[in-house]
Amino acid sequence: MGSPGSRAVGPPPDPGLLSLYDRALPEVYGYLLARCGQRALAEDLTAETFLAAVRTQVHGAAPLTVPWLIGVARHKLVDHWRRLEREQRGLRLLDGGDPHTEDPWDDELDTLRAQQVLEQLSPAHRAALTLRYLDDLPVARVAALLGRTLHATEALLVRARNAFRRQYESTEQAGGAL
Amino acid sequence: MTDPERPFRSLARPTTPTDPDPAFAAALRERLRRALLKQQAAHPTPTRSSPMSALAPYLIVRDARDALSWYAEAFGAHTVGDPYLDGDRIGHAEIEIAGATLYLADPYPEYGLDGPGDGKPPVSLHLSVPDVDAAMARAEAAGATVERPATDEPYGRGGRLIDPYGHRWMLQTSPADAGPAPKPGDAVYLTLNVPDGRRALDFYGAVLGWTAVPGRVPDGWQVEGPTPMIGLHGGQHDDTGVVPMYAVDDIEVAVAAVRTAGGEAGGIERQAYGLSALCRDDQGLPFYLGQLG
Repeated sequence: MGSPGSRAVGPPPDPGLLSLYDRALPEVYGYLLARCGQRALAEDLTAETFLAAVRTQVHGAAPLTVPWLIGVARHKLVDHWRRLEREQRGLRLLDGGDPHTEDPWDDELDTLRAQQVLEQLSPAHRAALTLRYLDDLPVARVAALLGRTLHATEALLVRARNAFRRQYESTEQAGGAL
Repeated sequence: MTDPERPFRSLARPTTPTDPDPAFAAALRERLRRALLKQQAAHPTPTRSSPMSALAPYLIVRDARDALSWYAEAFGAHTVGDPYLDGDRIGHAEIEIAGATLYLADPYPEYGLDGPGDGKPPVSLHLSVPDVDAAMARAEAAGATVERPATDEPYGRGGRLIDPYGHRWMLQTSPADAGPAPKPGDAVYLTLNVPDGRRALDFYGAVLGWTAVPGRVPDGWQVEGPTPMIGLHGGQHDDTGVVPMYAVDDIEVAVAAVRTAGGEAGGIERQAYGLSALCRDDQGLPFYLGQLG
């Protein structure tokens, strides 16, 4: 404190977000790119994340940190998948399948192929699997982010794992040359 | 039996920082700089909601940035104005709790200013809260050490705790102050069911100057001051929006009347303040009945 005990100096404009920008940008962009796989989209979502931070910073609400920005980025990603899901709904039948049956599957996943398979799944399945496994979030947090009940989220995860497995195994049978 | 999740666990991926296209990085920085300037012009920084006393406690805390969120989490504090940054340290910050102002700063050993350390702090902060048990539980869950659990005393129910920065807080709920008793039919309490209670508190804090203390449920907040009393409840709700509570003399009679009139009434529950029942009118609008005292 410049003048301890007294009402301090007139505060200079808070450099908060801009001073954090250089360090936070690769983290936020890296997080988004690894999960959405497309450069242009990752750039759009990165911009949305930082602009949202500008709005909250004005209210002095949350202290700005990289983990906080990643949390905002995660919300932006979920919003994106939700928009996509809305656009695609009606174009395809909702995948059926009993959400309570799941055959045991004990495969060692190839990370690169897993990423390609994820990109072919429906936005809802992709969102659920990404949050649960790539981000390693507990099911309750996944449910809160997706705006679903815990029960519905568990059922969604079972369906998503089944869909993932079908897709993964079909690319395998195709000769693995993908 | 095989764990169906097992193959998926190998997908966990920590964030790998990736530098974007430098042109994109520079353009976004410029966009942010302009957005910040525009915002700062449009919204002056938040100001305190009540006149400031001439006497304000000035707390030295290790990691003042962390402390700002801790006091927000535990006691519903909100930051007033922009903290004064001094390199990595916060040189000065102001928070408002229950209408009172506290100053905070990181330690400045070069000026002889340091936190309380491990010794017993000789000065305590006394905070009146609507529900001392809820406030103590909340603070303890957030990392405070309870020095003395809440007990009933002639002057009210109170307890003591040491926050993670070494400062002692005495929390107390005064015995119900005798205002005029509500008349049957008065709206005595409003519950705002919102997806995110903390965010609602920030919004109404900015618009109406509300301050609040944590309630007895997660992301529940008791707003201080307004009449009727107001609570914020964050989370998933069947009914997002405002649910009023109306005072009644005899809740069993009132519940029967709800059903006779074509509404629905849930069970009568005992609360700290009396008896309550969640009802719906014959058009589906939710409300509580409350028999107070």
